[in-house]
Amino acid sequence: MRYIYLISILLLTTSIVPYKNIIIPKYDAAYVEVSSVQYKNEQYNVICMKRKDEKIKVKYFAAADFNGNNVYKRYGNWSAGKNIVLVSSGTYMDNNYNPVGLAIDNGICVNKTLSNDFDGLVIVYATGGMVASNLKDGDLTVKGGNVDNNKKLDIRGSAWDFQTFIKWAQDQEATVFQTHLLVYKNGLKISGINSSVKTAERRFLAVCKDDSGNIIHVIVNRPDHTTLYEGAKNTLDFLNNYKDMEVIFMINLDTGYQDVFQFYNKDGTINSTIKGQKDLSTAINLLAYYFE
Amino acid sequence: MTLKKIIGITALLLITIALSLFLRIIMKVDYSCSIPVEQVCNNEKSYFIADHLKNINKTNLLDSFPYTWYADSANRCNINSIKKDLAVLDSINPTGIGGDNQQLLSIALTNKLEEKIKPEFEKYNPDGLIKVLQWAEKFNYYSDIEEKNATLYQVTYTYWLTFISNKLSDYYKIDQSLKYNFKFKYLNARCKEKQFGAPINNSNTEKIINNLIENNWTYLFSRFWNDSDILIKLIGLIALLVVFIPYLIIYRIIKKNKQ
Repeated sequence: MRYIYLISILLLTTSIVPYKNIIIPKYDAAYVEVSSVQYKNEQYNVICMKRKDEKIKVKYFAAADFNGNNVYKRYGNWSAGKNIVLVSSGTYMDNNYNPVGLAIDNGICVNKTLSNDFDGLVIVYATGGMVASNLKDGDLTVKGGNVDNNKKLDIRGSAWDFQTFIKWAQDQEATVFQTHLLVYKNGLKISGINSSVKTAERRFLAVCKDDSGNIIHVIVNRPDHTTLYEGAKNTLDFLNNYKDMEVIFMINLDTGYQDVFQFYNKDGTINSTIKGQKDLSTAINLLAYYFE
Repeated sequence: MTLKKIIGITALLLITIALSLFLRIIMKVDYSCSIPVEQVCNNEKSYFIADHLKNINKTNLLDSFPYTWYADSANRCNINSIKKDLAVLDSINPTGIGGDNQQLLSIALTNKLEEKIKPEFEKYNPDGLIKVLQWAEKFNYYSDIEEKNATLYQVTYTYWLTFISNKLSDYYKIDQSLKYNFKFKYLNARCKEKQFGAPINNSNTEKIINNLIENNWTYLFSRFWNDSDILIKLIGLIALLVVFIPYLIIYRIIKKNKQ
């Protein structure tokens, strides 16, 4: 009888205590601000994350690793013990769940094709910072490594520069992905003429500068269905004129096939102001913001 | 005309349209699977790069190199020939060994060569792309065995694999049915194998099928409801009726017979 008791207690304990990856996100609320705003008769759900003091950091998972761990599993292992602010699906993928365009994950090449379709190249540094470059301008600069920090790399125009960049990303364990560059240096980069006419809920990631020059990463969710062009144009107007922010760059976050988004309150509970329709486990790539 | 006849004719019409679309795709597919035989490189060298570099010194080498002549004349198939050309450049510009000289030759073997062969690829040309692949993929192996010139070889390899991948993507944008062709599939698979994936995406129908397989019913309904205009919604409703009314009729007949 005693053994039965012991086994029952053991079973009960293992069933109620998750054995790993207990994610209890907690962060300093002074760095994260959430709001829902009506601007020009349109709804904007906004999460602002201040990069001041570099406490809010970014991590991107571009693909499964070579050990067969999918993005969800990788995220699970990585996020254990971390204070997650939000997690979202990232950029585009093809029907084989491979990222479209150049993708380097933590220094490992996932897709080496520099696509002609996307002008945005996003670099997520191992230190948690994120920058973007317009490939059309051919003036990409990188920090660290054996590359001259002032050298402007034209990775689309020069095969040599492209190779230099790949080598740099590998050495620095950087994460790189290509995407639609919707706004760059506060100017709209998407055209209303040759962009898709499909309407959908839109979600954008904008890296902005406030009037004091502080860098703020902003997630803007547009629940109303709009085209990518209309959504981007109106969001730029909203950020410029309602939030008084200058947009350094703005990219699209997938709300289609992999609509994953989870935002946590400061105490670790889930905030439903912005929520994706798909479960986190279905994510093909993930962009995570965390507090450290 | 009775309701049953209307439903019957509509169903027949829908099936005919679906079948014709299906047949159209099948008829367009290129079933040819004869892959071009890989070219054997000869050792002949009918040109002397040094003759074309007489008035060039290390200060004007990058701007004055005869790129067009090199793209036309060089024996780029033979790696030994390329190495000899590099050795000549190294003798003219010793400070550029391992750097500038390799970069110069890389321009000749990438951008300038592309300018020369670009017209061949304006239209879908799978055989041409396969030949480029056969030539370019060797550079990856050269870089493994010859560290000294590895950067030049990697630059050339990466450039041309990217070229092939982007070309597949461009052709696919014009004609999506190309993805059913054997040579297109072959090239796409080879590019993926080398991690130069082209975004050969699903058509809307294929996306629906994928979502059905994954039981994403709410997502499918949400996309249908929010993104389709009234005409599509109406067609959807008719299609739904065409599927369900025959069941209803059968049910009523069975019920009537039981009574």
